[in-house]
Amino acid sequence: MHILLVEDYAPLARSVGQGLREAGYAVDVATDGEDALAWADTQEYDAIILDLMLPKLDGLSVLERLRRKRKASPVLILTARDRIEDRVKGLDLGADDYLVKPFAFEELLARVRAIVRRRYGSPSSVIRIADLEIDTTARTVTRAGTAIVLSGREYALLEYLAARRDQVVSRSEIRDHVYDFDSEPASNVIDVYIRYLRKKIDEDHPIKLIHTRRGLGYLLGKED
Amino acid sequence: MTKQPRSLEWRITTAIVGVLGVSLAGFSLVLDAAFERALWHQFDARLAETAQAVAGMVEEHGDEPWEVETSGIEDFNRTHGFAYFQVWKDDGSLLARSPSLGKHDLPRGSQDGLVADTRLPDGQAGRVLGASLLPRSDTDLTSKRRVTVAVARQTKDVRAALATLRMLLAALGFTGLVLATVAAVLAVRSGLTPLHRLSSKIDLLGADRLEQRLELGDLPHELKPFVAKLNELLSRLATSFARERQFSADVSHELRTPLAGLRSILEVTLSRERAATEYQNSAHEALAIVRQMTTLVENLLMLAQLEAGALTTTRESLDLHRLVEQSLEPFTAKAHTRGLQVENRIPQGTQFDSDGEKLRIVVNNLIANAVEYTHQGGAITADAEPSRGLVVEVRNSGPALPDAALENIFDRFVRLDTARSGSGEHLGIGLALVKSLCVALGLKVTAHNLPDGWVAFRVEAAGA
Repeated sequence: MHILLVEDYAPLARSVGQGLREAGYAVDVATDGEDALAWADTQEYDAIILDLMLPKLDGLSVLERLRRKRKASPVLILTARDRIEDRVKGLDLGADDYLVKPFAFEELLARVRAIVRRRYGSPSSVIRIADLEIDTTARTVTRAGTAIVLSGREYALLEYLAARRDQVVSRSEIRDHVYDFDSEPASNVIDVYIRYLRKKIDEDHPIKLIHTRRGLGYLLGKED
Repeated sequence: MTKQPRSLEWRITTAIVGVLGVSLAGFSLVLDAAFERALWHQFDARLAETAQAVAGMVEEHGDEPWEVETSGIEDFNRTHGFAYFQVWKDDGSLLARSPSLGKHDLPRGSQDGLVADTRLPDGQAGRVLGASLLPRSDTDLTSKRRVTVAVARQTKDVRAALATLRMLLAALGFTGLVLATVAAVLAVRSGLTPLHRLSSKIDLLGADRLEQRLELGDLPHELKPFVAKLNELLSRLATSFARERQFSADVSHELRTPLAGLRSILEVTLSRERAATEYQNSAHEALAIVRQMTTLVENLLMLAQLEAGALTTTRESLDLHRLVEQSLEPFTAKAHTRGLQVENRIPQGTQFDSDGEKLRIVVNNLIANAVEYTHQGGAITADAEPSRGLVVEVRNSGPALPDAALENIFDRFVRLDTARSGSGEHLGIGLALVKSLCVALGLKVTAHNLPDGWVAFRVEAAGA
C-alpha cells in the first residue's frame, strides 16, 4: 500500500516515514502544502497522512483541493491542534480520521490500516480467499492452515492483490501501490515477485489463486 | 457588619417625599394664617360696625341728658345679631348696656379701636372692641362730646371655622403626602427601569460570553457613557482572552509537535532490533529535539516573567563589540556551513550602559535569526552607534521580509512561510522575547527592508 506523508517537521516526517516503511508501506514524503498537491497529482494514494499546519498551503486547504479534484484517497489528519472545531472542519472537508500529536505510533499504524481497509471495502482485517488467509494486522499469511513466510515486498504485493481480489490488476497499478518514488522497480521486477509469490502460495496446492491475464495484468482469486 | 449604602430608589423617593411634605406643610401653614387673618379681620370689622350702630342709638339733647333709645335695642339684636355692648359717657359714667350683659361689665377699652379677647358673661370666649364715638345728634350744633362704646361677640363660630379649616388642611396634606409618596415610588421605579434592565443584562455577561455587547440604542443618555465604557472593557477583555487562547494553542502546538517527533523516533527505533549506529542516530535526533524544546520552554518562561513584570534589570557598562563577538561565537559553525560572511563592524570599546545578560539574549536571538534565514552564501553585519541612539543593528543580505511581517514579526509564534525551507523550524518566540526584553530595557526593536535588498533589525533607544 502506498502512502503520502505530508509533514513539515523534519524529525517527525523522517521517523514516521521510516516506521511506515518498516510496516510494509511504500511512503512518499511532502514537506509543504504545494508539494503535497504535486505528489497527490502523480497517483492515487492508498492513504494520505496530512499535517494541518504546513508552509505555503495549510492542510485544510490541501484537503479541500484534493477533494475538489475528486481525489478519493482516504485522508488521516495529523495535527497538534485538538480543538473540536478543527476536527469537525477537517472531517467535514472530507478527512477520514483524525489523530492529535503526540500520538502512539501503533495507533497511527492501526488507523492507517483501518482507512486503507475501508477504501478497499473490506470490513475485516483478515482477508480470506479460498483457504488462503491474510491477517493484515499481524501481517501473517497462511494457506490451508500452514504459515507462509513472505518478504516485506512479497507481502505488500500480496496484500494489494488481496485488497483488489477477483479483479485484474495491471503492472502499473502494482507499481503505483507497492513501490514508492525511491524504490521505483525495474521493468521485470514485478513479474519476478509474482513468480516468488506463486511459488510460496500456489505451488503445493491444487487450486491456483494467482492468475495471469496476458497483456492486462494479474488476478488473485478462485477462478471459476 | 458594614452599613449598606442606601439604594438609588430609596434616596430619590425619600428626597421627593421630603420636599413634597415640607412644601405641603408650608403651604398649609400659609393658607391657615391667611384664612385666620381674614376671618378675624371680618369679625373685627363687624364689631366696629356694631359699635357704630350702638353709638347711633345714643341721642344727645342739647347739653343734657343723654338718652338711649330703648326701642332701638330690640331692633339692634334683630339687625346685628346677638352682641353685647356697653356705653359710657365721656365722664366715665355708665350710660347703657345690653340686657344680655345683666349686671356684668365689658372691659372699657383704654384705647380707641382696641380689640381684645375676653370671657363673656355666659362663659363663652368672645372678642371685645372698645371705641370712642360721636353719638347721634338731633341738632345741627353737633357737640364734640364722645361716648365710649364696648362691643363684644362670641368667637365660637370663627374658632369652629378655623378648626374645621385646619382639620381639612391636615387631612388634605396627609392624603396628598400619601398619594405623592405612592406616585413618587411608582415614578422612581419606572424611571429606574432601564437601570434594572441593564443590570439584569450585565448579570448575564460572563467570561464565556465576552463577544456579547450591551445595546446602547434605547438607553437614557445618562447611562450611555457607563455602558459604552463597559462595552469597551468587554472588547479589551475579549481581545486579551482571545490572545491568551491563541497563545496557549500556539504553545501547545509548539510543544506537541516536537513531542510527537520525540515519541515517534523512540517508538519506531524500539520497534525492532537495530544496528548500534541506528540507535546512535536516533539518540542524537532525540537530543536535538530536547534541546530545541528546552530553549523554547526557557524562552516561554522568560517571556511570561517579563510580561508579569517579574524580571528586574540591572545596569552596567558594556562593550558592544565584545558582546556581539561573544554572541556570534556559537553560530560560527552554522554560518560556515551555510556559506555566510559574518562581520562585526562595531568599533572596539564602544560603550553602552544596559543589562548585559538581557541585551546578550537580544543580540543572540537577532544573530540566530539572521544565521537561520539569510539565504545560502549571504552576508551578516553588526553595527552600533550608541551616541546616535543605535544600540545594535544586525543586517543580513536577505531575502526581504514580506511587508506584513515587518509589523508582526515580533509577535509570538508568527510564521513566515516564504522564509521557511520546510525544515520544520518555526520562528517561535525568539523575536517576541527580543521585543519584550527591549521594552524592559527601555529600548525598541524594529525590522526594515532596506532599498538594497538587505534586511535590518535595529535596536534603538526608545526615544530615538
